[in-house]
Order: sequence, then C-alpha cells, then structure tokens
Amino acid sequence: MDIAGLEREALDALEKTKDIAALDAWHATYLGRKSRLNVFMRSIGELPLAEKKTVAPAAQATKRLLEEAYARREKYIAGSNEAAAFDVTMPAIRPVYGRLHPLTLVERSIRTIFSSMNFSVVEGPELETEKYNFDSLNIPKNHPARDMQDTLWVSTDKGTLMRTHTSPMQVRHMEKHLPPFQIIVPGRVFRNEATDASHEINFYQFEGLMVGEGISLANLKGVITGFCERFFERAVDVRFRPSYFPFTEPSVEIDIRMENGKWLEVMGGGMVHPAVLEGVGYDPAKISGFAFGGGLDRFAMIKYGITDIRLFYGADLRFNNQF
Amino acid sequence: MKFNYKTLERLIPELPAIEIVAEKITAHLFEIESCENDVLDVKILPNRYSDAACYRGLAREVSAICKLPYKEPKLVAPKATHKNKIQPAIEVPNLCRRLIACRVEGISLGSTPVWMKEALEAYGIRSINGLVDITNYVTIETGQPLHAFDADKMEGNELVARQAHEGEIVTTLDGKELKLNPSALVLSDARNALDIAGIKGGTRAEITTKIKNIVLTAGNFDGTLIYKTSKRVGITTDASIRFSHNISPALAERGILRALELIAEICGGKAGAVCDTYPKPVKPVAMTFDSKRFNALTGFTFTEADCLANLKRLGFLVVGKKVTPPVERTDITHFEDIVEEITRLQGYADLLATPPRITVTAAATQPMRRLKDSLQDMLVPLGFTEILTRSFSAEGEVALENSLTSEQAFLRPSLMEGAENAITLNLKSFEAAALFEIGSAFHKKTNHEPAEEVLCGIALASKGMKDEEAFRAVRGIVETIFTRLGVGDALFAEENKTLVIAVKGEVVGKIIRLEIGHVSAYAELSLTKLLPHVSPLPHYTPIPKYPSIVRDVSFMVAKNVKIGTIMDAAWHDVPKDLTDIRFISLYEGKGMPEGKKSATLRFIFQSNDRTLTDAEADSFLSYIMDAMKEKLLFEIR
Repeated sequence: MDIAGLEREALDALEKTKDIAALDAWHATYLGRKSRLNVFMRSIGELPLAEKKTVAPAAQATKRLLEEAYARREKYIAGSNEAAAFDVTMPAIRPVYGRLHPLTLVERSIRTIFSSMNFSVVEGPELETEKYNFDSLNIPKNHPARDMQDTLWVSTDKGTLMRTHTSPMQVRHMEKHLPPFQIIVPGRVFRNEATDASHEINFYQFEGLMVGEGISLANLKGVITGFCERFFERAVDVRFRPSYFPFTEPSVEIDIRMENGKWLEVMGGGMVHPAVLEGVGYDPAKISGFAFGGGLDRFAMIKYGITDIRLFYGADLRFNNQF
Repeated sequence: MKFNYKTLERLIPELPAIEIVAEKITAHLFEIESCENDVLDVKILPNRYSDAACYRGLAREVSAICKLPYKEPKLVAPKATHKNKIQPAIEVPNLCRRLIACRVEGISLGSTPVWMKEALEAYGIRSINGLVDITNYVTIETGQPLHAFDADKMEGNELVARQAHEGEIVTTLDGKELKLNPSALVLSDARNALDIAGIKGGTRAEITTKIKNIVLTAGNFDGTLIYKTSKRVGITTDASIRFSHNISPALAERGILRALELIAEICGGKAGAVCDTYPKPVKPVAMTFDSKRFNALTGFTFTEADCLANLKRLGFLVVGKKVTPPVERTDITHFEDIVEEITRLQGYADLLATPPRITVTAAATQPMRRLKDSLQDMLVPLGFTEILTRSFSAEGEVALENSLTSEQAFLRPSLMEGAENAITLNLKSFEAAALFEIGSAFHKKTNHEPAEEVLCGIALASKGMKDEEAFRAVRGIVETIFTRLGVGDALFAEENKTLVIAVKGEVVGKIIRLEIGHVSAYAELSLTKLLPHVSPLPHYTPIPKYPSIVRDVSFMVAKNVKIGTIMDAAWHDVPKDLTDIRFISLYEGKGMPEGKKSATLRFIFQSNDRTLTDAEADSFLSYIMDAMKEKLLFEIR
C-alpha cells in the first residue's frame, strides 16, 4: 500500500474541511474504523516479518501525524467560530491614570521656562525665622511695612513663623553663593487671612533672583516679557508701575495686558535693595540684581479660567481630574 | 486714602480731568482703588505715607507728574496779640523730636466752610464744628496731626512731653480709661497726662462747645514708639498711623501755622506767640548724583540734565551734582531711592525690555525637588491623582500663636488627615479614589525646636475592593517606588496593625489602614529621611545565562499565622542560588481541616555559573523546609 500517497491525500482533504461536519466526515474517511489506513494496519500482522518491520512504523507514524493534524484542524475550526463571536465594538476598558495638581503643572511650566533661561531651581523652608522673613529683607521690626503681610506666628518657638513669601530664599541663597547666578524659588507661603474666593491661608509663589555685574531694571523687563510670552504662548504686553517693597529699590508692580485688553497685576519686582546686598556681604557699588515674585495660584487661575482659589486645596477629584 | 478732586484743584488750578489724574497717578505714583463722584481713592504705599498721604503731598506729586505749576504756600507765624505763651518742654528728645504750642484766646467754634466739609467727607470724617474740623482738615492737607486742648482746663501753664508714670491713667476722648506705663509717651500739664502723645487725646482738657481759650499743639514723635504703643494699648488712629510712618518734624511747623491761619479766618480769637521746642533740627542729607550708575541700574540712557530736571520737579534741591530731597521726604535715604524717583517720574513705559548678558553656568535643581518630581511622575501613571491640602490641623505638636480658627490651631503633623478628608469627600462621588500629596509636615524636635519634614502621603480607597486588597496595592506602590528609586534593603515590619518601613535601620515611613468606613490604605513616606537612600542611577547586572527552576509549595498552617511570618520563615536561611520567594495564593475554604489555611509560595532557583538540575533544586528546597521548621509549624500539602 502507498502510505505516503495516502498521507498526502488525507492532508490535502483536511485542508479543504471548513466546518465540524466536514471534519467529522474526513475523520470517518481517513481515521475511522473502516478507513483504508486502519484496515491496512489490521492486516499488517499477516505480512512477512521482514516487511512488517518496515511497514508497521511507517503506518503508525502516518496515523500519529494525521491525528495531530486533525486535532490542529479541529482547534482551528473552533477558533474561527470564536473569531466570529469576538466583538470589537465592545466599549473600552481604560487604564486608571492619575493627574498632577494644576499648581504642579503650572509650577513645572514656570520652572521649565526659567530653566531654559539658565535659572537654577531652589526651594526653602516653609517654617522660617523672623530674621530671614523680615529683618534681612529690610523689613524692620515695629514698622508698618510688616503689616503689609499678615503673619502666622509659631507659638512654640519665639521668632519662628510661617513664611509670608518666598523672598527669604533670596537671602539664604545669597549667603551661600557668589554672583553671578540666577535662581527661581517656587514654594508654599502663608498669610493669616480669612479664606474666600480670592484669599487662602496658604498658597504658592515663585520668586526669581538674578544677581551679577551690570544687571538692570531693563533686564527684569526683558526676562519677565520673555517668560510671559512663553507661559501664555502669545505676544504679551508687560507694564511696570511704581510700587514699594522694602527689599527692592526701585520697586515695581508688573501688569500684563489680558486678551480682553485690560491690565492685570501678576507680579511684583524691582532691583535688590542695597541694604539686602550689603547684608549678605555684597558690594552694591559693583553688584546689582533684580528680584521678582508672582502668585502661582494666580497664574493657574488665569491659565485655566479658575475663579475660586479654594478649589486648589479642596482635594475634590471632580476638580483635580480636569487637568 | 480718599481725596476730593475739588480740594486738589484748589491747590493746582490747572488740574486736568479726574480720569486723566487717575491715569497719571497709576503710571507714575500709586495704584488708584477707585475714581468716582469727584473722589479719588488712592492706595498710598507704606514708604510714602509719611509725605504723600495728604493734599499737599499729592499736589506736589501731581504737579511734578503733569508738569503743572504748584507752589508750597509760605506760611508765617501770626503776630502775637497777647502775652500768654506756653513754651513746651521735651523730656525725651529721642522720642519727641519737636513740640510746638500756641495759645489762642477768645475764640468761637465757628462754622465750617463748604469746601472744607467736602474734603473731610471724602476722607470719611464727619464735620463737627469749625475748630475741630480745622484740626482734622489741616492734618489731611499737610500730613501733620494736630491737637487742641482747652487752655482753661490746663494747670500751671506747662506742657511737657514725657514718659508716662507707672500706672498713670488717661481717659481717652471715647471714654476708655487706659493705665499706662513709662513705655508710652504723654503730653502733660503741671498736674498729669492730657493725652497719649501721637495716638489719642484725653478728656482732661477736652474741647467742648463752651470753649474760649485753647492751646493748639503740633508734635513729632518717634515712629517706632508710636507703632509699639498703639499696638500695645490697642488704639489705632489716623494720627498714630501717620506718626508710625515717621513723618518729618518739619511738618509740625507747617501744620500749626496753617491751622492758625484757618482759625483766624473761621474761629477768630487772638493768637499768642508760637513756641517751638526743637532740640535737634533734622536736616536732609545731600547725595551726589551719578548718571552712569543710574543708567547702569535702570538700563535707561538718560543724560545727567534729564535726571536732575526730574528731581527738580519733585522739589529736590539741585546744586551741581549734589541733590537734596525735600524735607518731608523721610523715605529717601539711598542713591537707589533717587533712582526710583527719576524712573517713575519719567515713566516705565519707555524702559526697553532688554535680555540680560549673563555668565552661563549649568543650571541645577536641588535633589529634594528632583525626588519630588520623580515621585509625582511615578504615581500619576500608577493611577494616583495629586492633591494639595492645607498645612494646618486641629491637633499637632507645633502650635500657632495667632491662628484664626481652632481647626487650624496647629501645623499639620502628617498628611494623613488631609488624605482621610479627601477620601471621604471623593467616595461620595466616585467608587474609588487613589490620591497622593507631597508636602511639609511639622513636629517638635527633642530640644522642642519645631522641625519641618517633607512627606509623601499615598492613599487608596475603593468600594469594590476586598479587605487587605487596598493595603496590598499600596504596599505594592511603595515597593515599586523603592525599586525605581534604587532604595534597597527596605524592611516592612508589623507594629500594632501598622506596617513600619525601615531602610538601613531608619524608619522612613509606614502603611496603615484608614478608619473611615471604607476599604482603604494609606502610606506615608518621609522624603527627608528617604533622600539619602535614593540612588536612581541603575547599576547593570549581567542577564542570567542559565535557566531558572521553579518550585511551588503549599504550606498548611494555623489560621492565625500571618503570611509575613511564613515569608520571613522561608527567607530565614536560604542557599545562595535561591533568587526569589513569591507569594502565590492563600486558601482557607473547603477541604481545609478546621482552623487551618494553606499558603502557596513559589521558590525560584537560579545559578549564575551553571544550569541547575532538578535534583539540586529539590535538595535546596528541602534545605529551606528544614530551616523553616525551626521558625514555623506547618505541613506540606
């Protein structure tokens, strides 16, 4: 018998089966009790010994091969039925992905812009001393200038307070570094105020400081204009107005023109006061610098159209998840 | 401060329309809070309160800004028309720098002219009578507070500025009895204190409708003294605010002479000699103007003449390069103050935005900031949303001295309270909440000093989770974070239902279950303590060359035995080719003998110098089993 021929024929036929019924019929034909292969195998015993030795293993190998092919085909046909049932229009299962806080997003974008202008990022303590928060910034004791910021004092330790601005880091940094340098200081600050839609007991500021030889007020305008244009992603008019901060002289308020044409105050700044420079051992005749500070919350509110500052600290995911 | 436009117009007749004035003031001087019905509400900056919080001060500024003529009136002392004079005495010249007094006899209260009423009303002062209105008006016109006493109630023809006696009592005009001590300054006659100097008048020599003779006074007091006394006695008045800002002693003379002029007009009477006690007259200091330095600081390119012309308009005395500020400008002490005068008068609109020329050194970010950044960047993709909560709590270790509410009386000792509140809030709207916060918390050091610590709180709660699931998930987050940060050798040990996390013997955090009525867990890591252990730079180890062999073993133990105990026992003594032991499953259901449970662990063996045989793996496993028997009672299932 031509076992190899039978094998080829069976495999060709198997290839053509498209459903279970056809497959069953194929099985009866090629592997059933009355199939040619089984009939032949039952007759092997009657063959001479020498012939039996070569034919028997070949027949058995063919049988095994066909059985395996059958099993594969069965799986394939079953699988194609499954494929028909596979519904690609089922709704998505979305992975859970968290969100960064909007203030973090804004802080990062501010840091990125200033980093690109070669500013280093430094942070300072929230729990501050009177010395750094006021004295070293030319804000004397028993002077109404201190009343500009309602201070939260820590009762367990005299002279300790929650910093009212990020400006103490100006002095902390200058004490340990020699100019030229430029830094940006983001961080949480505190005011002892009742909270409402535009006031928070804690909020975020970012402070900038550039110190070196020949730094001017025009440079402050240059840096701020460059920053605002990148932050708001449009051309921005920047306006300086006279102001007063004990640690800068001259001092300015910094306004930007909003898209509705109105001016909005976004930062304060000025040239670092000579008393502050002298306090850290710099010579104001040689070294000058500018400093500025803005409210992160304010920038986030402008950027995202948020109208109530308290939302930032409410931890309501219906808010936080929007960013 | 609210200014009446018409009053200002009396001082500068060519004054432009109110809107233009408001615009000019905004660009060159102060912020305008509002501008309506002839009233300009001007936000006087603290450094200019000493000279510009009055009509004359504002007029000087507006005339300089608008380039309009304005002349400070020349005031002359009236001719003494009677011989009764009162020469003030000053006991403490460092606290009372100047005191001027004049006795005016035979006056009537007079009636207040309309223009004066308008000025007072705009400012927010009710008109009372001619005399009182004059003292108030002169204050807002010249910036000098004045006080008039009833001369007939004074004793001994004496007026002394001295420290209060211990326990000395002054009854203020609003009827409060104040007990003073020597830190307060008073004006006194021969008997006792008449007022609290610079702050509030007393009833002793109060002006009443029966007034005939007065002693009009104008003083100058140390700003710090007035600021402190005002805070201590709890009385803040228009006068105390003005004195706190350190007004110039020159104003005292302008004030009293202007008042005498108006009294003669409105109240009549005869003025005596104006007696001025001024031990150390203050002289403004001349400074040398340096236009090169001016241009370097500002970035303007002005000529010296341009700069000096600006200063002249502001009333500076300019002689060559020497410039002397007007006497009332006590705020000008540094060259930079003069720089500001010129720039603001010139206007910042002309200042060109100019990029700085900087020396480039590599910008850096502090390690703590980088750690915070990497935590944020890891937690967000793991499904956690960042929150920020307030830094205060109802309880804690570090108390605040002046908190507004009892819920915020302390600095937060942990971020947990914020996380709990956030979970409770959000489970009202969501089935689950995964949150984290990075922020500072505060506690007391052993020496009682308050200390700040940067923490990261990670909270997970879900209505759909089974018990322990949230806890295991949060622990998984922590372990993943540690792996990514390169924090090795972290130990998790149970302590009173809390899992305490230690790295190299130091506790860096904990994981606990939140008691909020939902399946939840909270991990808190101290970033301050973790920072030294962080080494996010990965170190390459060769990829294993030989296959691993895995053996799963189910341990039947008593139900109260914790998985951690089984794991610890398994790790207790292991051969070097054991690479990991993993928890696979826990079974407590059907088919288990009473009081038993079964935990399946997977042991993974791998050698880096050869392919292990099954026999070797089996012998390693039986070695581990034997070691486990010393630690744990179990049966293999």
